[in-house]
Amino acid sequence: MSSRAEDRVFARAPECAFREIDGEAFIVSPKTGEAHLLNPTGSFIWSKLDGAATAGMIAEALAGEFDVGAETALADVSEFLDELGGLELVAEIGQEFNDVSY
Amino acid sequence: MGIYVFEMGGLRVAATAASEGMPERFGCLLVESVCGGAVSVGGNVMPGKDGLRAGRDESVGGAAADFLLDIVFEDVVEGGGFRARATGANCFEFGMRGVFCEIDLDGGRGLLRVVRDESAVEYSMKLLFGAMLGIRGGGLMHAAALARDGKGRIFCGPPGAGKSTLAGIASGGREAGAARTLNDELAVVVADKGNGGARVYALPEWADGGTMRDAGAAGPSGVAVAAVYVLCQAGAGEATAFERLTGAEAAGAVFSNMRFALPAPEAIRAGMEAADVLRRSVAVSRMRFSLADAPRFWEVVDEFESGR
Repeated sequence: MSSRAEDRVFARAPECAFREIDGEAFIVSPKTGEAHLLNPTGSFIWSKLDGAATAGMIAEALAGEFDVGAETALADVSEFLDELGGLELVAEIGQEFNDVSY
Repeated sequence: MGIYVFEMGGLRVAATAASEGMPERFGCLLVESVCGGAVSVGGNVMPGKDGLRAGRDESVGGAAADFLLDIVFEDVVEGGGFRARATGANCFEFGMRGVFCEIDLDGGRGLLRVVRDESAVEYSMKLLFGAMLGIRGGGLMHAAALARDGKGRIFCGPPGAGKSTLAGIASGGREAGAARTLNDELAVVVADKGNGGARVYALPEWADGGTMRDAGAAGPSGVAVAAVYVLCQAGAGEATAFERLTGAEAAGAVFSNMRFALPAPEAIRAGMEAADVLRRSVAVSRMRFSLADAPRFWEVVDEFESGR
């Protein structure tokens, strides 16, 4: 696993359910059934989580879409993905998801 | 063999159960605690205005059911912890302590193996109805439902949000008019795909004396929903305030107040779609309710809904 923030790669939790409505998404935790609302920025980042894109690539796309600086974008992406990781909605590639069986 | 017909949200489940395995109060418990509109076509019980009475309801006898459920009572059912999984398109199995159930929602058939326990049967039936409603753009909402002037209002929220308090205020004040509480805890809400909007159905509970509270208050066709309110209490000194919710926020709020959904990804996605259908069918708003406005509850609601 790389220690560089821009090289980290995240994937959505395989059982995670999400629905996008008018550019915003709400996603449901597979473990708790709890719904989480994503704002347009969060929804944009979520849409880029294909299991291959690095945080740096997503931040670059975010900077182009929302007119923010590259450094700020990377910080926002990292913070957001860490937050989602805490909710077990995403996991960093190379790290195993915790048990999300039903 | 007993045959029971249970109705909820315009859906009808015919359940068969072997008489010898039936709990003594089987028919009554389902009528009482699962879906108050239930009737028996097997001749055991059916609801009357003042409680259960024996007899046969010819008005529903022979009517087609949306789902046929075979119930088998067993002494021990290894259902494990609460879980569910899809076994095919709109096919699920779910289990919990004392319960194992397989349902084919499209085929309209299912098998429930359950111990002779009232709570286990009740919970299983609610899960079944929740799943049936989910694929039709509806569900069981944790909400107080009120009908007034032919229109339903849904007030949903977590425990402590004030649903029961509000229901008491809204149906008890002098200016309440014809407002009636359909239920102060659980509301059956379904999108009306034919006519647009959504409809709410009564889910009566039984008072201690054995009489059904507002039995059939919404009628067999339900009541058109005018609005859904996500309820929370206003802070001290704050007036009642409303905030219209749209898009994902509205759908998420509706979904968060759905109950008795199967914990399987496919069922969760169906519930999210149902929440999206409902928020597109009816206005969803957040309501911070102040008890200081209790005397003029409907006036405050009418002001908001009319845009004043």
